[in-house]
Amino acid sequence: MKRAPAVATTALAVLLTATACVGPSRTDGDFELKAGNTAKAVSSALGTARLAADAASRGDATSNYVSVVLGEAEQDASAAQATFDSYQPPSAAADKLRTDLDATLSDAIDGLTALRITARRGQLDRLSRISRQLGPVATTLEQISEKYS
Amino acid sequence: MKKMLQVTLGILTAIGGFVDIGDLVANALVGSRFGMSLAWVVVVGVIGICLYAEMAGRVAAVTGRAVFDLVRERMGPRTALLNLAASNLVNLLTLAAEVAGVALALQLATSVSYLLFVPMVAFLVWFVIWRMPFEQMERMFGLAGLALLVFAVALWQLGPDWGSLVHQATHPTVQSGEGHPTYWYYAIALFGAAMTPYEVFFFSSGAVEEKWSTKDLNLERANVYVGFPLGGLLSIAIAATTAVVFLPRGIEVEHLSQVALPTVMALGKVGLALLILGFVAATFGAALETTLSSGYAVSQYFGWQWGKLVKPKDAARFHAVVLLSLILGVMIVLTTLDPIKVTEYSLVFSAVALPLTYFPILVVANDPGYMKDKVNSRFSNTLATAYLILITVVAVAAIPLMIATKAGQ
Repeated sequence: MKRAPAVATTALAVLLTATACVGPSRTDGDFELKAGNTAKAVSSALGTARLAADAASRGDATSNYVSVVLGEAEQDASAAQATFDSYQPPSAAADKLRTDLDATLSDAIDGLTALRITARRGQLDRLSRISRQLGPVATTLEQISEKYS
Repeated sequence: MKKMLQVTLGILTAIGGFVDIGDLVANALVGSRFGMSLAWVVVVGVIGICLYAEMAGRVAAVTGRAVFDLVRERMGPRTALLNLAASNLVNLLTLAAEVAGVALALQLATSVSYLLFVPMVAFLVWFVIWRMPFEQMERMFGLAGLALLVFAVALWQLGPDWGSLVHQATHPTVQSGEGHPTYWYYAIALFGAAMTPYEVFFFSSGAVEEKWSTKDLNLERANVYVGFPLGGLLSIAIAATTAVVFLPRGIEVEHLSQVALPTVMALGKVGLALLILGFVAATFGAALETTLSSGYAVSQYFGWQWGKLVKPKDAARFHAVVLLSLILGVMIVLTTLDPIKVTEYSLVFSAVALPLTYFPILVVANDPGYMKDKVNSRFSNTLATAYLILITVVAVAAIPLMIATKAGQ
């Protein structure tokens, strides 16, 4: 009976770790699925940031609020890219997909960084212009997400 | 007239106090990923919490004793200890999530990192528990929580296709790109959010604190049967705002800041201000409730003097448990674990602990030795038994689904 709390604690730790693990990519199909999910995650972060940027440009959001939204979107996108980069591409075709997607992810993150810096400088009226410039990147991410998810 | 005012205030407090960080996160997240196709879970959860909260309140009003007090006596110390351990572990996670929720709401207003607010929020929670009278505390945060009704106004302002929303709610389907296990995982999280165990502990202990008697049963039922369903409607409105704005754009909710975005788009800075007020009130109120619930549960199990009506020096162990729970909750948040993930885990573990919470309430509410002629009706028992079966299925399925879906990823 005295071991029960230790066993329960270990089981809980294993459970939480198991739900947080990322699996290796053994096939091209698996790698493509991971690419699709990464594109989807970054597309989601970018979409949120663009909505917030447009709202702030219209004067509908405070600079404090929009700074938080944009900072979190940038962090989410960077984390998704870092996780994707940690996957081992299983073939030459996967290498190409990795290079192509990485370039788009970097464009998205650069754009999110630009939005965050502009918002924290209080230049909210400039946000919608940057948001518009990010339109093609957002479209590419959506296409990759739809193709591979 | 005075009675009417009391009933109205009680209902408004129940509506404002219904939503906490779990409801905010779960409903917004589910709306963004599944549209309104999980709205039925909120309905099922609200019926369940109404059923069991009414029972817990009735037990307190008839016996003058709170749930845990009777569970140990009726079910024996071992069963009650299991109940206490499971409920308090879940309660601790929920407490951490609520404290983080207040801090995150303050971050939205100031853009200062939420971690810096956590110690201050914890101190204020302790201070309010220490100094503010029970009824005033409950009313103040419950009524301020009504600011969250801004979600319903924002939904109206967004001008959604109402027919489509109703169709999604009445013809639930799994969205393309989402798997059935993920759908059911979030159904369980949503169910856990609606039926969080601390709600019944707080409701029952609060009834003792407010010295309810059988004369107050109508007031209790009005709070539960009117206030909770209206709170449930508010939860559905939260899901609807994210379903309208995020679902078509493929955006998933991962932060509290995103929960606010549809309202900001619809109502601008005024909407944002009301929303932040509502977030703070709802999560601070829930932080008070979860902190007190820890103290109530432990003190009632061990038979210590408890409650805010008793002078602190006469309920020193109760206040020590309250303080210790708060410190542990703060420590969880300060590990810098993602507060939204903590919230999601707390909901799923809530679901796992549900049978341990609700089964003893059903047993006590049927014991004529305690309840005399106020035992459950046949209808209540049939419904409560059906819910107990449902709760057990949910509890068994929660962890396997959590592993299979990697916590809903």
